[in-house]
Amino acid sequence: MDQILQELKDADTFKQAFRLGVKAGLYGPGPVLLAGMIGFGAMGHGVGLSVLQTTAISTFMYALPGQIVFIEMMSMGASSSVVAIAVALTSTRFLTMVLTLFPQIPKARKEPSRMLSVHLVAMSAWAYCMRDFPKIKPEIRYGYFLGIGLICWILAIPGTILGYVISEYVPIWVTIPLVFVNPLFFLLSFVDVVIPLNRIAIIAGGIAGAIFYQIYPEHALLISGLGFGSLVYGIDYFRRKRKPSA
Amino acid sequence: MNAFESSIAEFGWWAILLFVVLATYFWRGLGVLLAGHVSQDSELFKWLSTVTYALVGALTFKLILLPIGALAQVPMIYRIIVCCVCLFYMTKFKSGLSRGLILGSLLMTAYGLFLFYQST
Repeated sequence: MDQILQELKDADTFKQAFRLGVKAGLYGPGPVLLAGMIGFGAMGHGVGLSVLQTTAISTFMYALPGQIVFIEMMSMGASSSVVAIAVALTSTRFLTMVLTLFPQIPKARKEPSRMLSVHLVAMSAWAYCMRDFPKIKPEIRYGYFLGIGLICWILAIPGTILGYVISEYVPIWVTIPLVFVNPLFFLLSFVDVVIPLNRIAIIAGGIAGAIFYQIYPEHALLISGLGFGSLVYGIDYFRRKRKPSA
Repeated sequence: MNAFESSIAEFGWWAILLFVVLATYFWRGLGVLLAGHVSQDSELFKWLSTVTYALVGALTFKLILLPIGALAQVPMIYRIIVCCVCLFYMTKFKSGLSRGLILGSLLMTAYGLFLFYQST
């Protein structure tokens, strides 16, 4: 990884940066993303989707939390509008992610369309670009982002198919860790959440989710996310408003 | 059933997929349009991120505590212990996320093997 970064500092063409991005993607976020997509493939098989449906979700949504919300809620029998709202809310983080990442890339006169390449923005490529962008020349940043993003997106497709197919044939001791990969990944990534408000939101939403799933399974996610998330935000908002006057 | 839902029922599962794909892309595309024009310190952003974290928190707890399929065969107490061990390992030893994931997967494989040999 350090060697890639060294080469990046010396790189000055789009092509070089793209190639190094692909390399960085394969060594860095690639394996974790692949594991997540294999796990998602196994989950798709578990809820009774076809391999084509499961792979289409990974390819076109390309957002693991949203993908899992989608198949979980569908299997719970939630109505399509509730599913759509929950998925849309799960994906709001992309707005913040794009707003922090793209302004760091200077616009070139001839460049691959950003409206298309933005599909590659996901946790994997985003975290690595945010870390490495300050260390590399602005002109080659777009190439580096496209390299990481594209390789991760491409890996998602065989990963999903592999997970789906193997969970059909392998014994239970392979399926169990596969379907556990994603929840564990989400849980462990919470360790890096530093803003206290967001930490409280995770715990409040989590506890509410565990309770409401047993009472209103098809609306639990919306109640916990939108309801309890807003509640936590509201309490914090009024606390902040009161503080300066006190 | 409202108008939206009845049209979904007509086109079936793929229509719902198309809709959630668009809903996911919406935020990414909006990001491109707004890049460089909005401040991320606004109240709207704070609210959006709180809601997102609460949603993902609920999803994570649900998947761990009330799973469907293969994971349901692992007792709840074992699932919770594995999560605690991995969280402890990650925070105590400052190790990366991927190591925590590998540890958790190994612990789950171990239980799976136990189930597998118990049944044969």
